[in-house]
Amino acid sequence: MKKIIVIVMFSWFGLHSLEVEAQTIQWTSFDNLTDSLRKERRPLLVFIHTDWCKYCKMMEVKTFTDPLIVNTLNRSFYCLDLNAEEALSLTFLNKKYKFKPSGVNTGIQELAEILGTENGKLSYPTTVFFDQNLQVQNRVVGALEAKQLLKLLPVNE
Amino acid sequence: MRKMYVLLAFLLAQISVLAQTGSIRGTVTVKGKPLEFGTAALKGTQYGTTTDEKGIFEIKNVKYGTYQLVISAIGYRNITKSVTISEAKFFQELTLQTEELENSLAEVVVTGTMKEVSKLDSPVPVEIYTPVFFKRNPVPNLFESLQNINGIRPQLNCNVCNTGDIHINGLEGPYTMIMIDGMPIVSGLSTVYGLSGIPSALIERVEIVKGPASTLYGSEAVGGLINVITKKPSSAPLVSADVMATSWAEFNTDLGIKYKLGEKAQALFGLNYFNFQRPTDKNGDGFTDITLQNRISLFNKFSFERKDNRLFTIGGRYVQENRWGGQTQWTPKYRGSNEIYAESIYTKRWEVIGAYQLPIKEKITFQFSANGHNQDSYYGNIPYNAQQYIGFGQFTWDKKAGERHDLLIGTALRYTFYDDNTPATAVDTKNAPSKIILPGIFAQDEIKLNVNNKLLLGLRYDYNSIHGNILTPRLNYKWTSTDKKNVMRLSFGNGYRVANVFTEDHAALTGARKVVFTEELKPERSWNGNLNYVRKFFLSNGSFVSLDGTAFYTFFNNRIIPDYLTDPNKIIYSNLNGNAVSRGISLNVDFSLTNGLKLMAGATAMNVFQREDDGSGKLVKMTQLLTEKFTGVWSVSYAFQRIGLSIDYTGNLYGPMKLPVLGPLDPRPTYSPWWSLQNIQLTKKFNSGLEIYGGVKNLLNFTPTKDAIARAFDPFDKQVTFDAAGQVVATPNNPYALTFDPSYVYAPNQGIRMFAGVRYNLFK
Repeated sequence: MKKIIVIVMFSWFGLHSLEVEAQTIQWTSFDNLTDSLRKERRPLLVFIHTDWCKYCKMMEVKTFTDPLIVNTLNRSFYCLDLNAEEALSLTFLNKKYKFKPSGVNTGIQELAEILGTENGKLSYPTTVFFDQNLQVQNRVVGALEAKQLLKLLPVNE
Repeated sequence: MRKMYVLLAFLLAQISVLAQTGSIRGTVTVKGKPLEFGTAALKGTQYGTTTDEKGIFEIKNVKYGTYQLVISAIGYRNITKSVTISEAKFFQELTLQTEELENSLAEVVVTGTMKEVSKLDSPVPVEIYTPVFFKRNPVPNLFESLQNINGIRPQLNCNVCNTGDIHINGLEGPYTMIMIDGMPIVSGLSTVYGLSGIPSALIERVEIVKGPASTLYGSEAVGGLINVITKKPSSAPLVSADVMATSWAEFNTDLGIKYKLGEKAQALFGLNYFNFQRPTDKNGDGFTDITLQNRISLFNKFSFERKDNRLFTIGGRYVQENRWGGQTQWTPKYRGSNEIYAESIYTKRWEVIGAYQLPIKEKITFQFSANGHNQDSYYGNIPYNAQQYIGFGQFTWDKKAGERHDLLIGTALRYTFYDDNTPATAVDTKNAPSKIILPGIFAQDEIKLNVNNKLLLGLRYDYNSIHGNILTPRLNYKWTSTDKKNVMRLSFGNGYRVANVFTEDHAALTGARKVVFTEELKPERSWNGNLNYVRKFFLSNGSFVSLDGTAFYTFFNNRIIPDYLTDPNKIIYSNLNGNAVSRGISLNVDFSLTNGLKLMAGATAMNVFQREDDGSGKLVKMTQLLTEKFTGVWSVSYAFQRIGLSIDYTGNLYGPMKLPVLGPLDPRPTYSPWWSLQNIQLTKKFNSGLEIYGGVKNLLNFTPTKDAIARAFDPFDKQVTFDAAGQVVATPNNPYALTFDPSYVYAPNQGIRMFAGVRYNLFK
C-alpha cells in the first residue's frame, strides 16, 4: 500500500514538473469588439469550444499560453473566446446572435453554428480566422498545437 | 548627360505609376441604414477594406483595370459589381444596397476572395464524436455500454430473463436519475429502459454525476445522475445507420435522422431494433445461455425555436419487447405451463418528457414527464402482470440575485399508479392498485464565493400520501484552481425511496422462490457523502492526462435487502433492523497522446454490507450478496490516422462476490472467482462517411460454471422431496437438497463471439 502511495505521489509530481506554466491570451469580449475595431482594424481569431471538450481545454492551457503565440496574437489580433454552449445572446459585427436551447441547461449559440460549421457539421474545437478586412480566411476544425497555429498566423506580413 | 536621362526616365515612371492608379469609394446601406464592418474587396486581388460606421469604404491606389467589387458581410447578401478604373474614371463613387439574408443561419464559407489560404496537412483531434467512447466496444444499447465507465455497473438481476439495472457506486438503479437533455425520466424503471432507443450517432455525450446532485431531481436521486445529451442539429448527421451482427446471431440496427418541422422546429429521430432468436445452450444445462429478445425502441425529440432564447423541447419514446429465456425446447405454446420452464416477458412502455419556459420575463420553466409501463409475463407457471403509470410536473424559477447568488425555487407533483396481479396490490383479496401522490417544494442557492469557490445549498420537502413527510437537504461544494486544472467537489445529502419490490427486483418474480414479506416495508433512508478530485495535466508534447479520484460513503438506516439465505426456498423482504453501509474509493486515469494513443483505466474498491440485529441486540456484519469488492475497467485505443484505421481493446475485471447458495449442502462455492471480460475491435473509416468494424468479444471465453442454475433439469421441483416443515430433504437424485434456482448468477453466460458491423453517417 505504501509503495503504491509512493508511486502515485512520484508520478503526480513527475507530471507536475513536465507541465508548462505561462501567460495567456488577452481575450477581447464580444461587447468590446465593436469599439476595438473602430479604433483599429485587426484580424480576428475566434476560438469555438465547449466546457466538456478536452481538446479545447488542451488548446486553452497549452496553445494559447505559448509565448510566441501569445505575443503575436496579443500584438496584432483581436481574439474572441466563443463558448458554443453558453446560454447568452451575443453581438458580433453589429449583428445579434441568439442561444438556442435544446434541453434544460443545454443548447447552442447561433454564432458558433454559423462560423464553425464545416461540411454540414460543427465540431469542437474549431478556430476561425478573419483578416483585417473582416473576411473569413480560414477555418480549422480540430485542436491546434502552438507550432501548427503559428504556421497559420500571418506573422511575417 | 546620361545621368539626366536616367533621372528623367525615373521621374516619368513615377508619374505614370501615380497616374495609373485610382480609387473606389462607396457607401453601403441596408434598408437605408449604413452597414458597418462590411468587407469591400476586389475579387482575385489584394485590394480590400471595410466599411466604417457610416457605411463608407475607400479602396485606394487601385491600378487601372476592370474589377469585380464584392461587398460581403455575415448575414447579408453579397453584392458583386463590375468596376473599371481608367484614366478617364480614376475615381469611382458608388452607392450600394444590400439586404439581410432571410436564412441567416447559412454557414459561413471560407471565401478567400482575396488570397489563398494556408491549409494544415496533419489531422488534428476533434471532440465531436464523444460517443467514440461507447463505440470502442459496440453493444446494442447505451445501458450495456455504461459498463465501460468506472464505478458504474449494469447489473444482471436475473439469470434466465437477463434483465438488469445500473448500479452506481454500489447503489441500485432506482437511486439513479436518468435524464435526456436535462429532462428527468421520472420512473423506477428508467435505468432499465431509459437508455434504450437513442442511437449513439445522436448522442453528443453522456454526463455522469456520481453522488447526490441538486435537490431539483428529487429525493431518490442520491446515487447519481446519468444525463444523456443529444446532438445539436448543427452537429448531428442528417442520416446515420449502424448495423451489427455477432456470431451468436444477434442483430442490432440503429437508425438516426435529423429533420426540420417547418421553420421553427428541429427534430431528432432514433430507432433501435435488436433481435436474437437462436436458442443457444453452450454450457449444456438445458437452459438458454442468454435470453432471446426481440425489441424495438423509437425515440423522437423536438426543439422549438422561440423568442428571447426561450426553451421548448419535447421528446417521446416507445419500447416494445418480447423476451424469453428458459429450457431450450420451450415454445410460446408452453407459456405459463408447468411442463417446460421459461420466463417470458412482453413489455410495452411509452414515455414523454419535456420542458417549456413560460413566455414571461422571469425565467420560469415547466418540466414534465409521463410514462406508462405494461408488463405481461410468466415466470415458469407463475403469471405476473403489472401496469405502472407515472405523471410528473415541476415548475422551476431561476433567479439571479446580485453577482453571487443564483436562486432556484420550485414546486413539483408526482402521481404514481401501480397495479399487478400479486398480493402487493390487494387488500383483503380484492385488487387495490397503489396510488401515490407526491407533492413537493424545493429551493436552492448556488453561491459564488469567489472565482475559485462555489457552494450550493438546497432543501427539498415532499409529502408522500402514504409515508408522510420527506425532507431532503443537499450541500455541494466545488473548488476550481485558478488555472482550472484542479477541481474538487464535495457533495452531501440524503436519499429516500419507497422500495417497489416487484418492479425493481426481478429475482422476486422467478418462480423458483416464494416471496415473503414479514412486515410492512418502510421507506429506505440514506445519507450519502461524496468527495471527488480531478487533476488535469497538459504535457509539453501535447499529451493530456487526467486523474480523477472519488471517495464515497452511504449510510442507510433502513434498507430493503432481499434475504436469500435464511430459507433457500424463499426471498424474505423486511425492514432492516440495524443499518447498512456502502463505501469505497475509485480512481480513473485518462491518457491521450497526440499521436493517436488513448488509454483509460479505472478501478473501484468498495465495501457494501449491513449490520443487523441478531436477536440479542448485537449487530452482526454481513456482506451484501452479488456485490463485488473490486472492479476494474480499461480501454486502450490507437488510431492510425493516415489510413483511417483504429484498434480498441477494452476490458472489465471483477473481484469475488458473495453468492446466494442454497443451504449448507450446496456444493457450489460461496464466492465467485475473479473474472474478466475482454474485447478487441478494429475499425476502418472511409472518407465517404462509411465505417466498418469488427472484432471479438469475451476474448478469454469466460462464462460462469454450468451449475449456476441449480437443478436446471427439474425447474418445477417435481423430483424434490420436502419435509413437513417445507424444507428440502436430501434424496438420491438430489444429494445436496437443492431446488431449482437461477439466482446464483454473477456473470453473463455468453462466451467468446465475433462481431462485425457497418456504420454510415451523412452530414449536411
